[in-house]
Amino acid sequence: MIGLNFYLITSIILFIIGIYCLAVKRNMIRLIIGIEIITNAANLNFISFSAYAKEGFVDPLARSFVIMSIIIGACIVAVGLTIAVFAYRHYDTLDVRKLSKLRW
Amino acid sequence: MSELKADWMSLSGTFLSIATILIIFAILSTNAFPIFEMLEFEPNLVKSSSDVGQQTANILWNRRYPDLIAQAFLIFASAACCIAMLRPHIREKMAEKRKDRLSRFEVYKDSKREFRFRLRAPNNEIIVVGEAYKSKASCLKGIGSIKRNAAVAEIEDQTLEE
Repeated sequence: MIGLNFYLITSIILFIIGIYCLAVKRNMIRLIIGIEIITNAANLNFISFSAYAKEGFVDPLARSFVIMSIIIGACIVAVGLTIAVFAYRHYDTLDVRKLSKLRW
Repeated sequence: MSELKADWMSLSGTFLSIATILIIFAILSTNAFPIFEMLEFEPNLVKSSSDVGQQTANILWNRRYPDLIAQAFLIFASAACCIAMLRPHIREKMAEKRKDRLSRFEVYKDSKREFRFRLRAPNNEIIVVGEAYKSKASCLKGIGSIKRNAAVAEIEDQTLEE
């Protein structure tokens, strides 16, 4: 059986990828993908801790949290992508550094 | 008039938000918030071999139902937000704004009642004026021909031979 550390390291790698994405990328869609990667890292942590809390047992509460987190993540992506579409129509760019003037 | 409307909208929105906050505060000061009764600090572990999905569903429906209601509200709000931002008339407004920023061909009738076209830059300066056409269709054809040919045309400097 794969140990808890494997999942934790995977989630740390995902978290670092997400942070890198947020810090370096300029494209709005890539930033949204970065946010989603970070959310998935947190979800993976929840699930792995719930599975390894006690030998042979699982905490269903953590799973229910993850289900909620996935739904909230989907809502964030939907609104974020809509804002990206809106910004693209208005400014003809998805580069966040060119969107410094937030007035329509 | 539209500015006045927007002001009334923002004023009523501000009033509604403040009223909602006050009402929630008044309710919470007299009644305990129901979600705190549902807090469980003892872990409710189930065997890995048993049906974990069923247990998760039970927890969601029996203990976390306010969260589910909040989620449903959130999904509704985000869908409403997306639809509001992508409304057709906003799309049209955006298209108009884009139109203002783009260069355009204008078809018009000159003093001899013949059809002509001119290419206008985003700063409203006229770049090219076409020849006179008898019909509008041939004028539009001329615009199409310019669009096709200008994209691939090469510059031939005829002043070098002099």
